[in-house]
Amino acid sequence: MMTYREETLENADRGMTSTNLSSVSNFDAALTADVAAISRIDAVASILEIVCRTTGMGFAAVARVTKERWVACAVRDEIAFGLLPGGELDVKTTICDEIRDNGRAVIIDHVAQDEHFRDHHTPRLYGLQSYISMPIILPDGAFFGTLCAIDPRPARLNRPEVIGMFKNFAQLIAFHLDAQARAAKQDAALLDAQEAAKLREQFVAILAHDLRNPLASIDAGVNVILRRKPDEKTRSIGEQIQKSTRRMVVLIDDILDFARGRLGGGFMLERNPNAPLLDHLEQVIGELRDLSENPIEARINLAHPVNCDPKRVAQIASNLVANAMKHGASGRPIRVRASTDEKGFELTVVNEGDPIDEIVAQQLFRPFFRGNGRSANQGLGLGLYIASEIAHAHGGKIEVASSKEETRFTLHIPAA
Amino acid sequence: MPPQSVKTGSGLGPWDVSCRGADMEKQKRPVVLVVEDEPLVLMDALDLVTGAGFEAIGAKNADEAIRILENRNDIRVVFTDVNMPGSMDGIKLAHAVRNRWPPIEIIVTSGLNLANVQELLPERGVFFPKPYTPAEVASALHRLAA
Repeated sequence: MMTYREETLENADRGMTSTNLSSVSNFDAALTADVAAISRIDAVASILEIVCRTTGMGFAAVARVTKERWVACAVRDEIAFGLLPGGELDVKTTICDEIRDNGRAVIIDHVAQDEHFRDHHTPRLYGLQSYISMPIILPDGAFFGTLCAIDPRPARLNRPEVIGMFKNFAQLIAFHLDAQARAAKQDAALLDAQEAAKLREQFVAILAHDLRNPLASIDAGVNVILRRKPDEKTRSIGEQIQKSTRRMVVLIDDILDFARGRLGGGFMLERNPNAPLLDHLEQVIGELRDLSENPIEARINLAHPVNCDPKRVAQIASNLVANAMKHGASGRPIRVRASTDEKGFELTVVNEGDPIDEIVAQQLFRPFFRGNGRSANQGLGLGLYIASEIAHAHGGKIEVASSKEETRFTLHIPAA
Repeated sequence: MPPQSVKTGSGLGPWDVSCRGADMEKQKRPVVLVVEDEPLVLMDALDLVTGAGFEAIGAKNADEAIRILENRNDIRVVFTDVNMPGSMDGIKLAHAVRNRWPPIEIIVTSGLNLANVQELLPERGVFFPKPYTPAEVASALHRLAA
């Protein structure tokens, strides 16, 4: 611990190396940060003042103590001890070193009468007669340093009220340090979240633009070729190229939806209390009917307005019908029903394909779930996931029920 | 087409129909300037425009489009992409065209999901999200250049 003897203040080989800039610049960044952390606690100046007033001691400090270093973080010096914040003592010359090892406070009213410290090197080195040092233990149990005070005269320190005061102040300082550290961590987490949001935006932009643009070029190029009346073989190749690029566009759209939904904190809906849902549903079903080998029987009866994002709901319908086309029994109809009542909107899509295994059914709505099929036209396994996310965004859900007779997907959107 | 026959800023059709065929340019097909930086997409769009019965001129960015506009007085419609390299994107080009050549009609297209795109466009600007259907663009061209 530090000490005071007037005539030796300038004497550097007493272990006092402090207070000049060169020694400051040698601090680890961590120690510098610790000094700064204490300096940010406004209460510390008052604490040191109260400590000096109550005990009658002339020097008080908050010190950061590590195995190798003793650094003054905050100082109240009424006796020209000569140590400033950021100043160091050789840790081996201090009693704080011992406190660090055993975590116990050291209190000496009068060195000359103290059996244990009478001949200790620290009081002798710094010429002190009274000494108190209370460990500052952070909430996680880590030793930060000490709250300490010294004086060349004896002082009555070994009293419960003095010890209690030091204990409370040490705890208060530890609490402030911990609060600062947690605030810093939260700031860092916030920055991380902002960084992640920025990356996500970039990712979405790359998908939306940089990946789609070359595909648009390929598609356009094939258009130009096909318009020039090529021979049969070239035409067929061109059409295959366009099929592939369009499949790729659908995959990119799915990943885009996934990125916006899963990574972006949910789908942004353009809800409309009087959404023209009928038009959108008829359009997607019409498009799929042209491609379907199964007859599609649609019965749409929307007596009540549906508060929804019609494009997104149509996207769900498109996904469920396309699935039914993929898995339905050959030649058997796919039945689509859409209806409304006071409670909301319901869409069912039924096919007569092989029943879905219970275990598979539980996983159907997970992202990138692809079942056991290995068809060349298989997607990314995002379709049902995206559909269910869109349903969730509407406060609704999609359920599946599968038996030998039929497999039925039901979308329900409650009235808003 | 003679510029004096043009109605400007009316929000109505661009060129006075009465001037069509009133002069020696009677046989000339209306000219559409297509601005697009992707060469294949540009070729495809030029095909579309030609197929719809117009004369098509291509420019690979807004700066080239401005040079062409400065050197010709027969362009009726500018059909431009949004995202392009150069000093102007398609939105800025649209405004430049509206300011310098008020009679010229403007069609803007983009694959970007632009919020409130209509507010970004100059008066009488028409927007088609990419991918556009050739038929809808052709019909807009006919309506605007009628």
